[in-house]
Amino acid sequence: METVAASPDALTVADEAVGFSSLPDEVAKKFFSGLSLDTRLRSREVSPAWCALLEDASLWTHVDLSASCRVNPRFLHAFYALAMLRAACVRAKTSLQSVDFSGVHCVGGD
Amino acid sequence: MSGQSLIALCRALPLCRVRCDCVSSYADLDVALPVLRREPPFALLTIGMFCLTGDEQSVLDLASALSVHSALEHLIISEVPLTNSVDALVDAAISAGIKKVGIDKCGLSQTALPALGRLLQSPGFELLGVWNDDVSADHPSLFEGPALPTFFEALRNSTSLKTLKLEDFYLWKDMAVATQLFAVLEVLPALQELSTAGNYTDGTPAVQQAAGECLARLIARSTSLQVLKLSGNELGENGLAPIFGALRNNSSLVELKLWSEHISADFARDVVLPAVRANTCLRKFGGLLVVKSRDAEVAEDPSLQEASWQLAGSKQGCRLKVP
Repeated sequence: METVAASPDALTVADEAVGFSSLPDEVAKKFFSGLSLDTRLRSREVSPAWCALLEDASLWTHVDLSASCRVNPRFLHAFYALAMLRAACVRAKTSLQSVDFSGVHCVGGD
Repeated sequence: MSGQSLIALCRALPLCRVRCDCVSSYADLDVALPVLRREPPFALLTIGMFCLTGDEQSVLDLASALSVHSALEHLIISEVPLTNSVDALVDAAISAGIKKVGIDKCGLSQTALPALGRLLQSPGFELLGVWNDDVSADHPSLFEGPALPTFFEALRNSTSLKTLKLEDFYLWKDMAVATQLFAVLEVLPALQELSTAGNYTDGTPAVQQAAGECLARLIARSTSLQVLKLSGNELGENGLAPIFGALRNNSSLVELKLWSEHISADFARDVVLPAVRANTCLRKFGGLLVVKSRDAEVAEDPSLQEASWQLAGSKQGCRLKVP
């Protein structure tokens, strides 16, 4: 199978070839649900289409900030963790089901 | 997070499952107790690790709350003199089904051994950590007295203990007891991590060698041990030689942690490097310093660098070709 080098131009080619934007919304959301919380939040900046998809409440029902959550460690401090929780709560609306804060470090008594 | 922050979080999310760690001092234990009792709005709260610092009354209050709590995974008691409360604490932890217990700087003595034995025999118990912070070798030892054989028997019968941390209490001052302890550890089927950090030998060659031989037998005979932490044991070359001898044929240990063990360049070349070359599973080890000259110039030795490269190669799933 032919592979595409990871340059900005090539990514554009790959995007067209794979056609991410043509994926059904549910498949795209499945993809987004596998991302860590900080990556999911940053991904909203990629395009208006991604931002719209990422506003779906079903993507924010579980906030995983455990020790194995793959969130960038520098964001696992109470200040950033609470900011990410707040962002998730806004999008989850009333459907937030679980919060795992066990990987969050507290600085100065949190 | 503190008890206050945890309460704020749970009140904000009353219908949400919340899991987090909590650190509480005796000053805000009264705030944390409703949390531990899982009173509303804390019914859906799971506490991964709860750390309490305070006085003995706070431990008794905690024990009382624990008896009705069933969602705490790891309990740490820190800097509390557990003179009269260790039995109540341990029995509450057992009834709450806590699988991991750490007792930090609480000055445990032999009177705590029956309680620790009960803890080890509770179903599914996984982690016991005791950091005693004994200030001198004259401090009353944990591992002495009439309850010791019963404790060792409880330890021997533990089929679920994965991690044992016995730190800072001069383990090597009574070599007969240390030998008994390690004879038990060798046969524990689930033990994956052992730390004896901060148990200084007295620096004499005989004690260093005897300590090293205890550890070497454990490395040679345990089929489950993956992590061995020996920081601050001052084993010297006399104690390290049997350990690296045992490492040659070991096929389970992944991490060996030492700290500021000074060795000669000859020892690095003749003992450390051959062991690391022969070993096929060790991925991480450190803490060896090579003393090159009489004025104690400390530097990385080429033999140790090669040992590091060997380990780096093994992390990639290959072994380096050494001429």
